Amino acid sequence: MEQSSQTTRNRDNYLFFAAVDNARNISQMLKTVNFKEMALVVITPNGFKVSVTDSKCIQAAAFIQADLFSEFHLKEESLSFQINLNVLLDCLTIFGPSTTSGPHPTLNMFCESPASPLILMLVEGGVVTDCRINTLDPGDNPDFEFPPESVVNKVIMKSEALKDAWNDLDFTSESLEISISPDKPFLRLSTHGLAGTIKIDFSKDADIMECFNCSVSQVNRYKVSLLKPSYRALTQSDKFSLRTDANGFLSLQYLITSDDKNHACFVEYICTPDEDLFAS
Amino acid sequence: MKFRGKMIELHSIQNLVKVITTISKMTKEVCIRITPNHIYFILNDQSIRGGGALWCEIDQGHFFNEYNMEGVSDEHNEIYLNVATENFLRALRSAQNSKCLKIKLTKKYTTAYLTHEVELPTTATHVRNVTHDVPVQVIPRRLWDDYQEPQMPPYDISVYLPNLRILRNVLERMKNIFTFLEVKVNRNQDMSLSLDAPTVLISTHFKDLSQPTDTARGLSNISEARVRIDIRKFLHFLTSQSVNPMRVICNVAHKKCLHLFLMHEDIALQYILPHIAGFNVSIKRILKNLNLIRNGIKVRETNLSKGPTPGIRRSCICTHVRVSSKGFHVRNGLKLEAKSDFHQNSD
Repeated sequence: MEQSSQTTRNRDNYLFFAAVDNARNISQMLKTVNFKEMALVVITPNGFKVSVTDSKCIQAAAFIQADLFSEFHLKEESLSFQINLNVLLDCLTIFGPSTTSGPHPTLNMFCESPASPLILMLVEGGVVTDCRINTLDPGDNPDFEFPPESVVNKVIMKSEALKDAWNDLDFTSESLEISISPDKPFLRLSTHGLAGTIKIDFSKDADIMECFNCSVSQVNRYKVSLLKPSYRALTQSDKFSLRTDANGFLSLQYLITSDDKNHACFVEYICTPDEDLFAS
Repeated sequence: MKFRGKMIELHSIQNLVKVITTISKMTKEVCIRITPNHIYFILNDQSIRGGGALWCEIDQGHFFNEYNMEGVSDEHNEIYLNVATENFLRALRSAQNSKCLKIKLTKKYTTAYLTHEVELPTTATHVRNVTHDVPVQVIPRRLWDDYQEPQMPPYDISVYLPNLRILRNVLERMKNIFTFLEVKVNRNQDMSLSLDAPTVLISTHFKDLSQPTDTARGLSNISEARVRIDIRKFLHFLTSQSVNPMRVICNVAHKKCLHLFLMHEDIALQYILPHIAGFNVSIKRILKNLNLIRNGIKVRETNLSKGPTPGIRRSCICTHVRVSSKGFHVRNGLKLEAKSDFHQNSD
């Protein structure tokens, strides 16, 4: 193929080059954070991070580790830009929403310089698609940090349990209340909606609970509208961890295994507590 | 004027439903032409709605078990009707699993109808019948000339379309991003679909497509033919994938139109998509112009030296872009202006 030989030849000219056998591995991860149009992409030698921020209150980040790619080269320490996530996803799934079985496209990604477009080359069954996606300056997006030392409470659970609970919650409620305590009821999710109050308790001894560390009793409320997109990550994940810090910041980390079961990737949602409600 | 047709084979009824489903995507109203041997579905859209034409021919013998018709006169033994595709489709859908479907041209009071009598299967001995009256307009003899087979401009290159499923997937994604797309085919049997949106440039290349055997049909000598079309219209045509066509021929008349010809045992469907002219403004030229008045408009010099595409990103904070027939005009908040003339896409 003419194009591919050309790109191989010029591979050294690129600031960033990555190849992956199955583009679905990438698109699947990006779908879990696709709730806003623009996303910030940060590429480091460790991997590819795509983060989306809404209302400066919630940040979702998908980390795709470098070892998920069959090739991953970056000439500088890091490369960052903003990109239209919808367009990126449309490009990645250009041959259709591929199923777990069946043919899947291979993907090569290039970037010439921090200012040049991100180039994708997808090949499936002899059909080649080139995409040049224009990117924007990274801008000054707030980076939400959640250092491990500030964690006060931590719960690790199987996702299955939360999926069921999530569907039982009442989303007419404006906020979701999460309370964690060392004694009963341990972990409680509650909503106060039009249909009444719903409370779901998880005991720390339940089978689905893999880890329950609670040092301080906490009750925090979070905007349901902000947390809702995290359900996409939840449905794809195997297990997740829920952590809070002393100020009530919530971090939800989802562990997602790729189709071939060889690689684990993380999606993290960090959400600020709902201050107004908390104060009242 | 009489028309009566009866279908008892499920397979043919379902095929008819598929054909009408495809047609209903393309147009709201269609002309049905009934002749002793064929039924035609015709759309001859005039330029007000962007042109485009449809010509679908079905052989009555492959669909109907009983078929009687009598035209307006012995000399002109044909019937032309106008029908809203949506209504027609709704009536046919109810017949999708029926034992028997009868289609008749009837007149009740002053309105003409295509009456669909559907006999539904039941387990019990009782028969269930459903009747739909679909209003139609009879097209008078003097307007028949508007519904003749569309004239195909001489095309330059023709190829068989690749796998329709893949093509449809690609176009579905492209539709999300932009309205127009350029189809390019060349004499080496390659076809490429490219889209040039402000955010992204995408091109999909299909290689080694087969070409219709009588290559003499291509009239000109040009090595590559290009046509710019509406993605949605192309997609509407591709819903015809459901009838499992044997082959779809794609004829390209350079900068004139795209002619799609679907071949199936019982159905022949032609669809013509007009070329939509688009001015291709060189981005480099815009940037050069903007560069002259750079204070106030952010254009990075590094980008300018790198040629056209990289420059467009983070280009400017302009608030007005006025496009006229001669060129375009960019103005930012500080009332600094840049002008450029269009130049036609070079061949």
